[in-house]
Amino acid sequence: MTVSSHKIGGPQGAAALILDKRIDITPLLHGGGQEKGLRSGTENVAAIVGFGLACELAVANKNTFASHTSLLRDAFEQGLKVIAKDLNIVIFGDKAKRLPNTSFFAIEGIEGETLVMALDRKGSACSSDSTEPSHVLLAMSVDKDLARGAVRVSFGLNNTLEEVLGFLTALQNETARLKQLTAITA
Amino acid sequence: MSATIEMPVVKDLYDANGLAKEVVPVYLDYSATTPVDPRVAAKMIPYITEHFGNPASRSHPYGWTAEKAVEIAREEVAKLVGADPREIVWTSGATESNNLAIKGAANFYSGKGKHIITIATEHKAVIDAVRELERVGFEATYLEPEPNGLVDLTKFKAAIRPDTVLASVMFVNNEIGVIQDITAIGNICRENNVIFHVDAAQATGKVKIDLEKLPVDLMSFCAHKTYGPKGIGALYVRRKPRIRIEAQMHGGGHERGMRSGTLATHQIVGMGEAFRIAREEMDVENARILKLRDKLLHGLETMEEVYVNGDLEHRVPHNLNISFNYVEGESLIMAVKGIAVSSGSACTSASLEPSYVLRALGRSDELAHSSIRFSIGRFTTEEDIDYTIKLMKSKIDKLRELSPLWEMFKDGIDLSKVQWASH
Repeated sequence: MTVSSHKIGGPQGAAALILDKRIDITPLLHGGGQEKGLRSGTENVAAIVGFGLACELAVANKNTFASHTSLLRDAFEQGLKVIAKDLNIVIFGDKAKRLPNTSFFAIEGIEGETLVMALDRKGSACSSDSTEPSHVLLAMSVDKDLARGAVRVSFGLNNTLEEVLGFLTALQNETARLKQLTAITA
Repeated sequence: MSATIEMPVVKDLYDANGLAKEVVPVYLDYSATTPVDPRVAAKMIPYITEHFGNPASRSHPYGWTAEKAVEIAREEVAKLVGADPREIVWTSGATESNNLAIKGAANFYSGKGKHIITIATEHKAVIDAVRELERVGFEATYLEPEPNGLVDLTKFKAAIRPDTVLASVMFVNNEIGVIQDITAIGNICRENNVIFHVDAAQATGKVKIDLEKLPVDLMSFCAHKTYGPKGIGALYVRRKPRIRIEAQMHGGGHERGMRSGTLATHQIVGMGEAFRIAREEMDVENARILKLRDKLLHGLETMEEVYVNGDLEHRVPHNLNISFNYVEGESLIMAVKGIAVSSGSACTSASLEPSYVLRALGRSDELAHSSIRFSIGRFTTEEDIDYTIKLMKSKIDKLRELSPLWEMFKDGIDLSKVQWASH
């Protein structure tokens, strides 16, 4: 199992592979024989210490993280349905078991990249695939045009309900504006 | 200038009598790793906390800030070595750079041939990468250097075969500090259409590197030997004439597809700052370190039966590798706990095998075992050197007093002619 530091509040540049003792693997980096010969190279001590503490905190905060971010996420998604009630909104994976902190959605007729850039000017950072539609969504048989509209919002412990409301307001204004633009240019 | 910067963590090295406290040995192992320069650490911290973005995030300023910092650092690294920033590929360190260069180039150009030349005294990251290629069908020549540690150019030329695809020679040796004639070796490679890789992990900030002029195709770097953080390195990949390598890490297509993986922004920022400082302060620093090295050398040379390993002329001033004859290796390590150094028994691993580098120079097992690598750096002071000379003299004297071999030597017996009884 692969685990990474910088997705759980640790520094970038450290990760680990959890390996069953009975499994043999061929190393990819040779020379020095660190990590029982499985991964040579001087250990990035500072990043590893940071990763260790991040893991400790993740365990301690597991329940808080889940309850806090799922509260924000659910509030966001409910708000999303309200502000865009005239539009066709798809939330990907909402019927499946998913992470409490992530919402991946698309608004039909609005390009994800355009929306993200517009939101960015209003002070919100989220992500979309710039040119190509997400290969994950395509693999889930999502329509190509809809997939192009996909935006990922992911919350952390530091986000607040006020930020979610501010984001929804910006989203409401921008979708309305973009919808208008699309109507004019179409 | 560098004298005004204090070593960051280790303080209170000496007691009221000017003696080093036993708990904190004097650090003379800069070739193993250097402390992060406080200026480098200060520059890194904001990129862990406030500017934490992923440089691959193209759609918001968190990502842009990180990406900009990464590109500035890339320019700094390129500037120190006379390269174009587009020729610099980030890696996790010199081990990865060496693996990527050697396996990447050998695999990409294997159609041309499957023979590789390297030197017996290379770092394990080069030797083991070449050995791995041997396992999958390549052939390799491990050229023995001359007794002074340098490569003989005629022998190097003679080792080239029609199917030789790649040669890998380190710039500065990690154990003995000798500087190879990279220009001459590179020219031979060019004449014979052989791709030339150089491991420069120990060279940055110590010797001038100008890749615009050097006939080198691939060059490995790392930060933590030049006062940057561990866990970050780079590989230079020449653009003109263009050198191709096969990626060893896939997924994401970062670094022009040559090395996938999220870039560790703060680490990269640290490497950039470390290399900027190296470029600006190298000349002054090397002159200061050479003085300390000479002081240490002259201090130790007052003892009998002391041998410098490796050429003294073609050598970085930071390194002094010395064999103390008639002293038993393991007791020597135990005796010098007051200084943090590497020994010929422990340079490569925790095992008590004598150093393969010193053995390749033709040193006996005994002399290889009883060797010590002193490596001097930015935060070494004159007091550190004075203390080291004093400590070495008293400990070597004591160990030799206990040695029957030393007694025989002093009695004028030629030990090489003694017939030892087998048992």
